[in-house]
Amino acid sequence: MAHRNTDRIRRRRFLKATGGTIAVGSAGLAGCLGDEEEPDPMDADDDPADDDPAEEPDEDPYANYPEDTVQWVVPYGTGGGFDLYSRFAAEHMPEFLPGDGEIVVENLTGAGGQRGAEEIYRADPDGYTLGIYNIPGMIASQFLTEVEYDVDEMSWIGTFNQAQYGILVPADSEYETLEDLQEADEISWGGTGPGATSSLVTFIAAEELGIPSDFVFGYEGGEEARAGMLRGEVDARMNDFPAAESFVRDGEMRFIVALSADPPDWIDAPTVVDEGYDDLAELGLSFMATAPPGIDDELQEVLSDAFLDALDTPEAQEFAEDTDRPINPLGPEETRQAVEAASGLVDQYQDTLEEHMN
Amino acid sequence: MSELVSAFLIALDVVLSWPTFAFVVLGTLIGMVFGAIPGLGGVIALALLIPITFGMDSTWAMVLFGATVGGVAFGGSISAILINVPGTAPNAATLLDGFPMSQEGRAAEALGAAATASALGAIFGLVIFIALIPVAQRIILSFTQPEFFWLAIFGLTIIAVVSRGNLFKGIIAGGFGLMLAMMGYGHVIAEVRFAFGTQYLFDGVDLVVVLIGLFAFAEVLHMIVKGGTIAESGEAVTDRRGVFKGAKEVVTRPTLFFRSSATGVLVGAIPGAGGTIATFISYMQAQQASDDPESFGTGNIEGVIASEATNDAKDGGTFLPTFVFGIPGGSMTAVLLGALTMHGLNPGRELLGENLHILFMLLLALLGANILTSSLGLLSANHLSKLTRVEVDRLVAPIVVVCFVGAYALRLSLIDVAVALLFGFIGYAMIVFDYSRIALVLGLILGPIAERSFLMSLQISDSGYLIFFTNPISIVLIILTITALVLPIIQSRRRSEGVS
Repeated sequence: MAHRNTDRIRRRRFLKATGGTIAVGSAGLAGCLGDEEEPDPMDADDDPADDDPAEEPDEDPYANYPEDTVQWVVPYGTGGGFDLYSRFAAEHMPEFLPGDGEIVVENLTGAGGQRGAEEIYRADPDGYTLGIYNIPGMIASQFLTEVEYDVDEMSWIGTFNQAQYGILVPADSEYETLEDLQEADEISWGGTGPGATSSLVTFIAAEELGIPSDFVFGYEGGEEARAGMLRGEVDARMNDFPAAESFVRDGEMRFIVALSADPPDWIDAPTVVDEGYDDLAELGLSFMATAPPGIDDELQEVLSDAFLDALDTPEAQEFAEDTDRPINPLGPEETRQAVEAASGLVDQYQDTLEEHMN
Repeated sequence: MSELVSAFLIALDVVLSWPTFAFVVLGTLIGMVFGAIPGLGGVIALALLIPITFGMDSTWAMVLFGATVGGVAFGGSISAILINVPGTAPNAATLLDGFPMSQEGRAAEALGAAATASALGAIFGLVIFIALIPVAQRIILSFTQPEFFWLAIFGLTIIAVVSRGNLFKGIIAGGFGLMLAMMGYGHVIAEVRFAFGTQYLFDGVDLVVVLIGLFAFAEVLHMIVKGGTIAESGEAVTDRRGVFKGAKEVVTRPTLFFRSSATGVLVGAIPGAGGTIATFISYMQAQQASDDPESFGTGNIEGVIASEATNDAKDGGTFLPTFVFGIPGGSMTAVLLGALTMHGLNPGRELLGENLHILFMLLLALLGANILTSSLGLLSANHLSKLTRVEVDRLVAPIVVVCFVGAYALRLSLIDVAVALLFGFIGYAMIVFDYSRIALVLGLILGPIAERSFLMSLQISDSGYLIFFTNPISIVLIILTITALVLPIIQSRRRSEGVS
């Protein structure tokens, strides 16, 4: 008898606890839900010039931009390349902007960069949300999966750098030249996943160069893939120059061929141009500063000028040396053209890419 | 050799000077607070520090990072012992015996043992790390994908240990964890599974979110229903006796301590898996080697010592792949790497060569932080343990608020908070019906590692299964796994024979 009563009491307590928590929790959450999607609540229509009827209202609406904090969205994690470039820009661009507002970096990770990319695309084109895109990574996602952004519509501010790639092998690898690779039975490539830019470049390059290829995906990052290569798990990796530099200089790894017209001095290998494959020299991973679609032409100019000025400073050189992240800036028009070219390339190879994605 | 010594001395000189030392203290405090608050932990602390240190002097930044990492390790044990909530995933092994000790009124003793084991374990871990630098590359490169697979399998056998007798329920819980691990984008197969069309589930469920829900929120619900205070029995110890008793227990058990610390460093050095499962492996070893294995899980201080010594020693181990190769040993070292790169310190020969003194500064700061936190822990254990005598009604609100903050801070997503709440209810149900939540967590952590390394091994071998048995390390791991499963059976049979 007593047992059943205790059960009833326990059940009642459980329901009370659970119910109470749900009620309070919902009330708390409901209060917050409205604000989640909104970036900085800066009303761009609030033009100080309007307050003073004596001033001409249309004279340079961006004379004080930014007046409040600008949110710079990074679709990837803290400490990575996109993050580092963004933090540099956030720190140094305000010096070249008329207003007093700061630029603050926000890492919105998820879905391989998609979440952050969509966030930037959806934001108001008032100059208070900016961000960084991965080209051609985000183009590939747009072509091959369902995303809610459109690379062609974005307002391009400029490019930090295009990281170019080379075919990397361990120093003691049996493969010395491009011919060796082409004549092999099969070359196994180590990569993180088929959606990664290095993988995209591999698919395109392997097909163009006629290298019989097999792929091992699943490494949790470029470093692990390189370690996998040293362990003998895979033969080669399509690697960007900066990340491989210390290993090449130490003599642990070497490049067989560089997918670039003008690779850095420390690379002692022929280029794809030397070997007769000029198109491949266009491939690379670009770190591009961008803004939501529909930005005012004047605001775009203000942003691009500040961007290029910030990257032209001695601090920028120091940053590039310290972090092994080169800075070779491109202006807005060149950036837009590069995006178009990259889109064309992804379109051209869409079948190949789709085949590998499945 | 002399470069090692001179780099060490330079580093020591700098770290002990003012104002550099102030950053050690600052980092320690930050680490302790973040470590103690469930869900926050080292990853978020470092991620928040990176932008703050962006323009800062590199020396101060390194010292700050090192100290923060040091503070986090012990910080997490505080909440594990006092309220059964692991500050970070590896701390989960501490609560197995730490919390029962609190319930018996022996919280101060547990904290004392944890603080001492932590500090000593950290020292040991760093010494071994330095000693292993010359052979680090060989160690790290000898573990290939098949070995990672067997290591994950070995880790899963720990589920048997933490199930405490009811293996069937443990397997169910672990299986549920494995199921959860399958949700999201699988890199090897390049497909999204069980995301139900949502972007949120594209990356699957986040481990920290699950931890906050399963342990923190669930514990809160449990407290609300149960009422009373955490310490159910025992007299209130008002002087320092309890703390020092705990500290002494560590010192009087050198074999246990050294074995746990050594395990910590070695397992921690294995890239990827090491960090989280090291503490569980140690715990399991301690139980197997003990005279009284049955008492593990009910408040045996040896469980706390094993877990804590390992937790701190493993940090030294995870530095091997991190600093030599740039392969993160765990999520915290991944962020640490980002922080290092930002300040121009890239892993590899350079860091271990001309910049060795900077590396040592980081390590000394870490060491200093460990000693500081443990000292603080020892001094405040008494006061902290009073929390276990407070009516839980008063603890509930602060814990819930802190957990909401932790869940949100992770990815700035309210959905994470909702998911944490959901797991809170699941966790509470598991408490009531006696299913091991740690088994679930182990399945969640080890599932992806096992699957990934399994599929990658097959890719490498072109679908040949022989690859799983060719490396001697694989064989060793297989033997360890079988031993771990069979040994308890043999032991219990021997005991029942002994009795009769």
